[in-house]
Amino acid sequence: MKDKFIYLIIGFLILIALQYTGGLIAQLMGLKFPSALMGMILFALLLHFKILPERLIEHACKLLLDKMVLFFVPIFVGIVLYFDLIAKNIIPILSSIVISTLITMIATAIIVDFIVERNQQSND
Amino acid sequence: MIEFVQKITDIPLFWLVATVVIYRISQSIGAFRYIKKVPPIIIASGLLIFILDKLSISYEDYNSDACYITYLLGPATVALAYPFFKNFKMVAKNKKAILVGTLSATVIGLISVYLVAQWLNANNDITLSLLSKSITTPIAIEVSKNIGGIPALTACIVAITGLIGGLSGHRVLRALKIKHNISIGLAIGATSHVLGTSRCIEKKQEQQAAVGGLTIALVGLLTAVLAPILVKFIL
Repeated sequence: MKDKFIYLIIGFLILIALQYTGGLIAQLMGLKFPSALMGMILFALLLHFKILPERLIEHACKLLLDKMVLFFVPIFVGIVLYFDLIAKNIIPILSSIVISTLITMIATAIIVDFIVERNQQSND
Repeated sequence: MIEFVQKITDIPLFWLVATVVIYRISQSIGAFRYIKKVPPIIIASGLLIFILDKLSISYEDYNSDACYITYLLGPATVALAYPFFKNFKMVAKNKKAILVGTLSATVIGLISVYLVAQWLNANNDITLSLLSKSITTPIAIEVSKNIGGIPALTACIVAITGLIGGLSGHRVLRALKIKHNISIGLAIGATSHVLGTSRCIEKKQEQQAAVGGLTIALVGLLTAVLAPILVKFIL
């Protein structure tokens, strides 16, 4: 129990450090690239080449991924600031989102399913 | 009474604790039959908006406490590499499908949202804010800024998109008889970013989450490159 808690803290600190390092790299390269995304790429590389042992970050990753939806709550509450603008344009905004999301989701799933299927057949 | 409320809400980080507690309550409200289908995030934000309004507390005051919760999105996004790492073999075996899929999702997503917005006569500000709707919040805000949208409105649009995609995704794709976890994870990650992918995690679909996490990064990257080109083309 105590061990798990310590690993949780260590893992969490590692993730934050990775995000900042990612941001730093993006800045040095002169890219307008979000630090979290660069951190994610960095993290994937460190895990893949076994530079970072899995047990250090396992608990922190699971916890953060599990609670991720909670982290969106303050952004959702922020909708009040744009309530008038959204309410006035509710039809174009919602329709664009719904129609485009459905078209993209369906088309993408069909395309990918097709390629995966063909791959598996050629492998057999 | 008013003084009392003010004293309590002035406690440092009061709204941070309140947000977590209200979210927990919203999760357990889901146990009641009729509101089972409403996601906790809707109930929680609805309750918070209502409470802030009743106590006439501004969003700025609320967010000066609650913003620390939003900061956790950073490390959580970094952590998305973990399911990817756990399922690396599956991803490597399907790299072609993943690359073609993310590219087509980005292009179809950008063009379809632009066409629908034009068709419904959305004004320029709104259209530009809509373009980065399906990518993760931190990139969406940067892209929106770059192409002349309203970044904060984009953040709201991204949240709504993630919610709609996350809620409908598995149902729609099941109805279409999409079989492979790669296709499902990719279609959901490419349209409804982190919020959609977190639904895959809730459903214990690790493979979907792995592809989803990778897709979020790739689609974010591609949109950051392609959206400004599209804007130059259409304006």
